[in-house]
Amino acid sequence: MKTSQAAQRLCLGAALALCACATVPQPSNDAIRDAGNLVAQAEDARASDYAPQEMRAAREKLQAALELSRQARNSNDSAGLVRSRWLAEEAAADARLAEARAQASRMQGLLRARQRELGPPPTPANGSQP
Amino acid sequence: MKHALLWIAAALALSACWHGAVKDPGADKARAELNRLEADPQLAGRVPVAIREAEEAVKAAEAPQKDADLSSYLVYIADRKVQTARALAEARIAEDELKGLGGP
Repeated sequence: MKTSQAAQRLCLGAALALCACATVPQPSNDAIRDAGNLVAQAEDARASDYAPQEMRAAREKLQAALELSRQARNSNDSAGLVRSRWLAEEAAADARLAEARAQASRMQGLLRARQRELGPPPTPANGSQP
Repeated sequence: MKHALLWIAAALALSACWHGAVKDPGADKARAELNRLEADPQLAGRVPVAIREAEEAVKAAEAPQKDADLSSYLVYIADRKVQTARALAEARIAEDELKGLGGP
């Protein structure tokens, strides 16, 4: 009986250890996935039209992060993994900036168009006084 | 009290130097840009969350680091967050003006 319980505990421990291994957070992968999502979101918002430099930087850094991560995993290079995470986070920051600049440019364009539609504001000389 | 704080700050800075940690000069630029943004009431009041995030990133970038790559990364993130906060604030200003003119 005791042997059976011990075996069960051993199996449970092994299963938990396996689960733990399988779910060990991979910060580099998480950061790369997040950066990929942000770059895609910025592309959808047409950020490349308004902030091409930032979008190019975001794409290049994301690509560099992916390559460095792959190399670091193949060579068990933990410092390389950390650096790939930094690159991914820089790519994410570039994508956020590109999207914010695109939003600002779009709004400023709409505002200028609306101001043109309405014409110049009335002055005392041509105001609405009879 | 003020003198004591100055001495502590000097001791910490000296200790950081002895241990080979240095502050990236880019952190000062990010701090200056954040200060300009915060000093503009029209901009700063519109994006408090983005400014708080930028403030945290600038603080992290200001801490002396031994690893030059880590330092560069922290400065890069701080700079981008400050610029993002400014762009978001500019977008909000245009959006509010547009609403005031009965735009979409």
